[in-house]
Amino acid sequence: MSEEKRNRAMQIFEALSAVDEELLESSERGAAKGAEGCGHSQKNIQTNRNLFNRFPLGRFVVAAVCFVVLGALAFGIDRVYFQPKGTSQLEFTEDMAENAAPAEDAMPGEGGMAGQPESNAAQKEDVTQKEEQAALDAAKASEIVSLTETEARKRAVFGAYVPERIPEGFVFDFAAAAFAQEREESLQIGFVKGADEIVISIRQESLEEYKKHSDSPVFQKEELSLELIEEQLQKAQDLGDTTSLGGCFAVYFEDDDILVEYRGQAEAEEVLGMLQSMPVEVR
Amino acid sequence: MKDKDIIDLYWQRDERAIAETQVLYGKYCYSIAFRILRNREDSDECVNDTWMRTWNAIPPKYPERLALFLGTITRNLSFDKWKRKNAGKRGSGEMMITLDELAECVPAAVSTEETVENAELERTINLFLYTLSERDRNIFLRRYWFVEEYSDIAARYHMKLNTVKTSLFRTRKKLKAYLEKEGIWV
Repeated sequence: MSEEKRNRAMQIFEALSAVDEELLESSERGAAKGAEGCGHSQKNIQTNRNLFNRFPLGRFVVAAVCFVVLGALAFGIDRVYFQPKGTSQLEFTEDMAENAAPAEDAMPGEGGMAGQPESNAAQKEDVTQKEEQAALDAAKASEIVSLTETEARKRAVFGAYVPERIPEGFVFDFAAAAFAQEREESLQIGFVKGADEIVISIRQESLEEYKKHSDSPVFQKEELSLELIEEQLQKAQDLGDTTSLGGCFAVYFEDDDILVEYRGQAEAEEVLGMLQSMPVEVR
Repeated sequence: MKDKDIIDLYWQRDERAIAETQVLYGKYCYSIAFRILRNREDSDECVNDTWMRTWNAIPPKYPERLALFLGTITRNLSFDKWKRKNAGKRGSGEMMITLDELAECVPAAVSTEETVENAELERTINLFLYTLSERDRNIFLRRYWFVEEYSDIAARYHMKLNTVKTSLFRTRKKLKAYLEKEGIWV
């Protein structure tokens, strides 16, 4: 990098010092929220709703169970607080409180979880190891390749999952292929219409694997329907994730073991058309 | 001790304020310094300087978020030290990689325009961050404010490494386009 360009990069780095504190605080909060994809628990909501639909009496059973559990908890708390000091139950609650206390390096009001990476970093004191890790990360970072729309569509396997039908008014924004150990791991392509955007992430991954790191709802292609998609977009709105018809969910294509994650703002009908246009024949 | 109590100690000019700050935020500030400097002694020095700066700043300041107030001072001091130590060097390490990445956001040169004032650049970058999704913004800040490694960010948000990489790659492109659109020439 030239000296001049580095100086400009430094100017941007310094300008970031003035970022609104609420944004920085939000980056700490994200740690607890923690999720690949949508960042909320849509999957759980969907599962619960489906269960209630199948078993109309389910909600009453759940309410009864909740009542019993709450009663048991209240009884437990009562016992703990009224135990004489020094009993095992009291020690247990103190231990728990200690474990739940924020880490020393955590932000105010944040639990230990949010502060964990800081304390980890503070403990990593072997500079050589750090340098090696940094070099490794740099190598990894360079494995993102920018593509044109045509190039993205021509990718082996993943190219077939770049939607042929794009919602009206949306235009190509970006495409990037991510590699790990020389193997193409994922392909991401984005389209924009004013402030609205659609991002499609395509990767080869089993359903089980995806569920391990994401809480986004995931469906089989055969399950896709207008009603289902409308429901997903509505849920995202209810959760306050977006004010427009935004949503995030994934579609699993069993034949190729491919997961396509949709994130964006578009009309349900158009989203459905787009997802149903996959996979297309690779040109 | 709570933040408010510590700040009250500063306002009372009670030196216990520094000890309490060290207890509560020592590791937090050290980690910010260490990520930039990658050197124990230098990081310790910056953290100690942070306490001195804070002592001089409060009062009259009354920070709403003490951790971020301290963290910002540490970040600035650490980066100043890093610049002094690396002036004119080609260098390597995480900070250099971070700057290499940020260089991708530098808008294409337009000869007729003048270099933007720092305050204007700060305001524009701040506005840009509000245009991002919460997820992309958080990843961007962890990388370029806290200088966290990709793997740490992925672990923090329970994401795949590639998701982090792609998000950053894309946000850098967006920032460059945004700065160009706003006529910002760094």
